[in-house]
Amino acid sequence: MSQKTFLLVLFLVVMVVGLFIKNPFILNMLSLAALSVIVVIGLNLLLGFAGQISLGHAGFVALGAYISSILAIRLNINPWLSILIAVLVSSAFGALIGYPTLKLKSHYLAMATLAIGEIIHSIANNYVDLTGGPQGLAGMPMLSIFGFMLDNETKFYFFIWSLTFLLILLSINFVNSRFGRAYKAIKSKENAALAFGINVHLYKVFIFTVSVFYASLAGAIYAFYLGFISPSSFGLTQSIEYVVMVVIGGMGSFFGVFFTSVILTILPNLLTSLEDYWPIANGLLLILAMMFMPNGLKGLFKWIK
Amino acid sequence: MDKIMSIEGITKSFGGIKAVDNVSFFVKKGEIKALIGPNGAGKTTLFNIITKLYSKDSGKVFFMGKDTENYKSYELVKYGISRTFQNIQLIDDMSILENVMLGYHIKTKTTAIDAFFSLPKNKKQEDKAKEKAMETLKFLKIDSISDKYPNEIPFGYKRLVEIARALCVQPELLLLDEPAAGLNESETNKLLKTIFRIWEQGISILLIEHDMNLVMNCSHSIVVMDEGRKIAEGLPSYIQNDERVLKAYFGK
Amino acid sequence: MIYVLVAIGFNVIYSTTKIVNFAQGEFLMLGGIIEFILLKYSIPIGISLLISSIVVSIVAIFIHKFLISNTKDANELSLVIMTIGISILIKGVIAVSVDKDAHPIKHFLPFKSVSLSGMTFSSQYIVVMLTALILVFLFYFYLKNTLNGKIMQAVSMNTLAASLFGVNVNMEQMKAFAISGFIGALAGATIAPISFVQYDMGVMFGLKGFAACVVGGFGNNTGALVGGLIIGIAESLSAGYISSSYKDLVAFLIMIIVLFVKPSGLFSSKDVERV
Repeated sequence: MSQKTFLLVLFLVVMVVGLFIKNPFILNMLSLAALSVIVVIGLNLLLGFAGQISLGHAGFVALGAYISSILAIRLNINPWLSILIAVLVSSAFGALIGYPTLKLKSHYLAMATLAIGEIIHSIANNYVDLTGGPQGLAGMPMLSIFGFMLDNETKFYFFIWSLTFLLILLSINFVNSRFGRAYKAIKSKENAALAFGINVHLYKVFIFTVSVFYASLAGAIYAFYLGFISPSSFGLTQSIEYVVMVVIGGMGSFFGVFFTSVILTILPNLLTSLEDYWPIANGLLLILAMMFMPNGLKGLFKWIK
Repeated sequence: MDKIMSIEGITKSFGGIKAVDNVSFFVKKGEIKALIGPNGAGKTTLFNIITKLYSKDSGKVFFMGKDTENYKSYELVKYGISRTFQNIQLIDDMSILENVMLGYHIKTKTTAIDAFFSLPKNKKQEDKAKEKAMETLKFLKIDSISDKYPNEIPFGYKRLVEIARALCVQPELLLLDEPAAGLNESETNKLLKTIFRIWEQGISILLIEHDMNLVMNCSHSIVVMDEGRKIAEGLPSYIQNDERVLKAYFGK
Repeated sequence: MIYVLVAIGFNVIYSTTKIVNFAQGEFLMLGGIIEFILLKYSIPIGISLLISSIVVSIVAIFIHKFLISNTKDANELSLVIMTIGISILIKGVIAVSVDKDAHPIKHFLPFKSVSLSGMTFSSQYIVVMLTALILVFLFYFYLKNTLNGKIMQAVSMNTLAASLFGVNVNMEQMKAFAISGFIGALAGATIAPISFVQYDMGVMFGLKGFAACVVGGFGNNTGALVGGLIIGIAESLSAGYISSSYKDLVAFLIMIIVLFVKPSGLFSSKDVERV
């Protein structure tokens, strides 16, 4: 089965599921899963294809969420325009951070993004006038499409999943072009990439920017969906969670990371009593994956070409 | 006599040891030049300096009359220099065809937007790359393995795929880094013919090689290096009998 | 001064194994936590310091022997992911098995604060200072003047060559982990009275130690010393003159500036980091 056929099947399944589920709690959980999928698909481009790791993706999600919310609440800018500005500003910021660090070995990006994530988190916590501090921000207006308000869980479910599938489709297109080949070369044989005319540094900065784009877009939509954001949703733990989703799903495998991010978003919501044990589980998953299954669940999806 | 590349006084040291010591020579347009020498002679270091993977301490490299000082490693292929790697650098999770298409990367003009939205231009350029890659594989008579992956084909084929990938862009100068390493005798003989056929297309070749037989049979002229220095240069028949060369190689 | 110790902890492992140990901050946290537990059972400070350092060394050896050595396709990326996994595992285990609260630890010296030309500061700073100085000195002495130290330096310069000369590289790498764990734990235990002990204290210390490494040049021990001092001083100055809530930002700001201007660090060694 081709990637796009499978994507279509998956899309239809998700749409049908949406028609039958009426429970708002479940719909909410699934919509949040879609937002995770967007972040993780973006991170997968970076980690799975270019071999670069970000430990601050929750920070970029926060950046999208906070900038768009502040624009909408404080300056009364139209929600979609706020989202657009937030995503562009965040992506530009990503490029600015990526430019110096991506010249260096991959642990520099890891540490720099970790630091950025912590900085964003600490600004969100401390700069109360702008961000509302630990209490967070509330009162973001509801999103509407062509005058059609996304005012209940079902409507939002269809909107967010359609967007998610569109973004997956775009990513699949992208990696099936000459760029996909270039990134695979960059990841495994950098010298070969250079020898065949690929400006490795620029390519890395580009894909990092794209992945920040995905993260901040998800963050901005999240803010308008919930109408409330607070720093606690965007900490280091969440950044690591995204990395776990990519690693376990199989770096470079769109469907692998799709399923792991859906499952790993839903599970903690169902098993809230085990909250304290999630970091341990995440740590173990990463360690075990590196010891025994560096490709995660990629193998399960081999039949999709 | 047109020089396609000339190397002038290249020197490079690693921690006080001169890996390449004031080496100069040139490659004529349309010739097959070989660079030989025992292990540790500095051949690969020189290759990596030419291809900008290493910086040099002093000296200059001219390509088609232009100083390459400010060229970046990823720009060389644009100017017409393409290379293979001694330790095979095929990408494991790409098919042979895709690997060769990677070699054609700079000739395709797809933008990121074309790619994300899979616009018609993307398909057109992909088809062109595919066609070129197939053509090159056919030229090297290995088009039957185009759908296979690098870990599914024998070592001798991997070497040929490396060459196909470097050849796909139709370079002016092809750098071959020990193309015969690890090949058996019949494979080496085939390689010899392949090198000639590439040369017949008007591509100049600089090859590093260990295998004396191959070098003596295919090159027009030879540079011999030992301990970082150039110790001899000339026609194969001359090199074969040069005392310093024999001494470096066989310790006589 | 504490960042100097974290930076040296990073360097010891990095130079022998080329691994950036993302669990370095957790060594500090473990050192502090174990000390806290021992002190609760009224074990004298000196002994509890020693025990916590040794325990963390053993943990570090364990990490190297069972986890790092068994990493499949041990490339840079998978080792980064591995040590991140280790880091959050340690943090998670402590959060569950001890707790998530911040615990105060009493000062090592009998008096709490010292006054010096009008400024009053915690007496623990003296302890931290002295410990760091002694450790740095011992570490330099070990590298320069003992056979073991020289072997370790040889491994860091050229792993392959060292193994050809019969050096047991694996053993040296394990030692590096042990030393790094020891230094880390001691640093964590001495800083504890100032910073309190908490399961997630490692992240910030790890990051700032890394920043110190970047400023000084990765793998360079003189660089670590200078980088750590620069970060530490800049931080105290900003806490004093601007606001303590922006204290954390200063270290990262310096790091990012250095990354832009001179990514190989102020004391760049020949080992070029650029690709």
